[in-house]
Amino acid sequence: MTEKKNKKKSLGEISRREFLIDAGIVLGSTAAVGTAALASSCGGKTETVTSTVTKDGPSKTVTTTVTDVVEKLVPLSCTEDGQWVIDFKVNGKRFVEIVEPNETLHHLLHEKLGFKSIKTFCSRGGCGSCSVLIDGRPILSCMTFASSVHGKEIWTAEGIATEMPALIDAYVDNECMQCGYCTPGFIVTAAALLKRNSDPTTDEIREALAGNLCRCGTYPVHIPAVKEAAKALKGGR
Amino acid sequence: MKNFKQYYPTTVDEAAKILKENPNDTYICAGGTDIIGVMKDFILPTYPTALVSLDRIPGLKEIKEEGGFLTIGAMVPLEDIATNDLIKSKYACLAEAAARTASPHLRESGTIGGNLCQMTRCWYFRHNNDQFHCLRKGGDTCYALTGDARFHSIFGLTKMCAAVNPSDTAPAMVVLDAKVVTNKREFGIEELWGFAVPGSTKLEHDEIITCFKIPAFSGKSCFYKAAIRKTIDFPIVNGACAITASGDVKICVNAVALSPHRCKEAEAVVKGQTITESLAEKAGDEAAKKATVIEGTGTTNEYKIQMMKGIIKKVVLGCK
Ligand SMILES: Cc1cc2nc3c(=O)[nH]c(=O)nc-3n(C[C@H](O)[C@H](O)[C@H](O)COP(=O)(O)OP(=O)(O)OC[C@H]3O[C@@H](n4cnc5c(N)ncnc54)[C@H](O)[C@@H]3O)c2cc1C
Ligand code: FES
Ligand code: FES
Repeated sequence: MTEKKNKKKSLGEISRREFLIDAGIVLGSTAAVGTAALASSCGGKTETVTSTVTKDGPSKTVTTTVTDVVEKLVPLSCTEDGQWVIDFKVNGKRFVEIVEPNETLHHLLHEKLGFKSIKTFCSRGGCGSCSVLIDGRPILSCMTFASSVHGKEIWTAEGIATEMPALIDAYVDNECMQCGYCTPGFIVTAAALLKRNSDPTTDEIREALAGNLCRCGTYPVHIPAVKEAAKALKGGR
Repeated sequence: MKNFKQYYPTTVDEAAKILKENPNDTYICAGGTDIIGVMKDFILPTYPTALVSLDRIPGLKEIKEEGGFLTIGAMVPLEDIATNDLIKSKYACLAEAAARTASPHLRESGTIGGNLCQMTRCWYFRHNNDQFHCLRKGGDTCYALTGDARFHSIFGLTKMCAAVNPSDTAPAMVVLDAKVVTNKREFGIEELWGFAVPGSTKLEHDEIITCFKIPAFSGKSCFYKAAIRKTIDFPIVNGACAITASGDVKICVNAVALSPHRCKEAEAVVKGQTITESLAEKAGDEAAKKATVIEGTGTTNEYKIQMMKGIIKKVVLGCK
C-alpha cells in the first residue's frame, strides 16, 4: 500500500532502476521554486520525476531530471531558498528529496513519503512511537531533522515487516497490541536490539524497550515476543 | 517550528566562521535532541535564525586512548559511551552516567557535547512561547522563587536564578577531571558552566567543543541517579564519586545548583579513610551543611537535600 503512495509522492524513488545516479541531478523547476541547478557532469539516460513540496503553505511542484551514470550519491546541496537536497534510502529504496531546514524526519517520512507506520504520541522525544532505524540505530524521527539523513539508510516498521517476518509473527502471537498505536515503534526498537544481540535476556529486552511508551499497558507481553522472535530468527526465519 | 537557515559545515573552522558571521540567535546543533525541543516549543524570546550542524565534520566521533588520556569526541553518541568496553571497565562512572541518561533512542542521537551543554530544564524557562520571560532569557525575575520550585536549586542562587543543570554525564566528567578542548582553548571541565542567557555554558558564541580529554584513570568510580522513572526522566539529583589509585577523592552532584556541584567537604571526609557505611553517611551529611531550601507556593525542595545525602552515600560506598 505504502509503495503505491510512495510512487506518487516521491521526488526521486529510483531504487528499482538497475543503476544509481551520479552527481548529475538537475533541478529544473516551475517558477514557484527557485532551486539551484546542480551541474550534470556526465551524459547518459535521463528521466524526469515530478514531486510536490508541501511543507507549510501552498504546494510547489519540482521537476527533477535524474541522470543515470555511476554509483554515487547526489551531493548534499542547498537550494537558493535554503532547502536541502538529500539522497537517502528507506527500506532499501533510494529517494532524492528536497526538504526544509525545519522539517523533521517524521514529517518527511510520514507526511510526504507515506510511511504511515511511524507515529507521534508526543513529538518531543519522550515516547518512542516515532522510532525508525538509521544506519542500524533506533532513532526518534520527531527529534531528527530530515536534512540530516543524507547518505543514510533508514528502515521503518514497513520494511522490517518484510525483512523480519518472524518478529511480526511473534508480536501477533503474543498479542502485543491493544490499540496498536505504539506497536510500530516497539517493532523498530526490538529489531534494532535483535540486530545487535541475537539472544537478549529479559533485562536486556526491558532496557532496550524502556524508551517506548504504551498507553494500553502491553509491556509484559513484549518480552516473550522478542524472545520468541530471537529464537525464530536464529532458526533461520 | 519556524523556519531558519541550516548549515552543514565539514570542518570545525568553517563552523566557527559561520557562527562568527552570524552573531545573533545562531546555535550549534549536535544530536539536536535538546535544541529541537527548544525550537518546537518556542521557548526562547527570539527564535533561532540559524543552526550550525556538526554532524558532517569528520573526526568528532572518535573514542581513543592516547598520550595518557582517554579522548572522547564531542559528537560521540551517549550510547557509544555507555557500551564502550574500555570506558565500562576503566571509567565506570561515565559509562553508567551515559547509560542512565534519557532513553535508549535519545542516547543514540544525543551526544556527549550536547549533554554537557544543554539548556536548563527549569519548567518556567521551558514553558512554551516564552510565557515566563525569566532571568535566563534576559528578564528580571526568577519565577521559581515565588512559584513551584520542587526540582530547583538547593545550593544558593547564582545571580538569583534557581534553575539547575540537568546533565547526567556532568558529575561523572567532573570527578574524572575531564578537560574540555575547543577550537580556541583547553580548560578544566568545571569552568565550562555558569550563568548564561540562555545557555548553561560560558563558551563564546563561536566556540565549539571538539573533544573531552580524561586523564588515564586507575581507581574506582561510581555514578547514581535518582529520577521519577528509571528511563526518559531527568535527574532529580544525581552524583558521582571517583577515588584514584593514589587516594585522591572527587565527589560531584548535579541537578542541585545552577552548575554541577563539587562537594569538597564530603571529599575531605572520605580522603585517606577506609570506606565504611558510617563514613559514607558522614560525607553526605557534610555536603548537606551548606544546602538551602526554597519554599514555594505550597511546595518545597527540602527532600532534595535528603536525596543528595543518600546519593553521596551510595556513590562513596560504590568506590569501596
Ligand atoms: C524526553 C527527553 C528526556 C531527556 N532526558 C535526559 C536525562 O535524563 N538526562 C540528561 O542529561 N539529558 C536528558 N535529555 C536531554 C538531551 O537529550 C541530552 O542531554 C542529549 O545528550 C543532548 O545532546 P544533543 O547532541 O542532542 O544536543 P543538542 O540538542 O544538539 O545540543 C544541546 C546544546 O548544546 C550545544 N552544543 C552541542 N554540541 C556542542 C559542541 N560540540 N560545542 C559547543 N556547544 C555544543 C548546542 O548549541 C545546544 O545548545 C532528555 C531529552 C529529552 C527530549
Ligand atoms: S513522538 Fe517522537 S518520541 Fe514521542
Ligand atoms: S497498544 Fe495502545 S498504546 Fe500501546
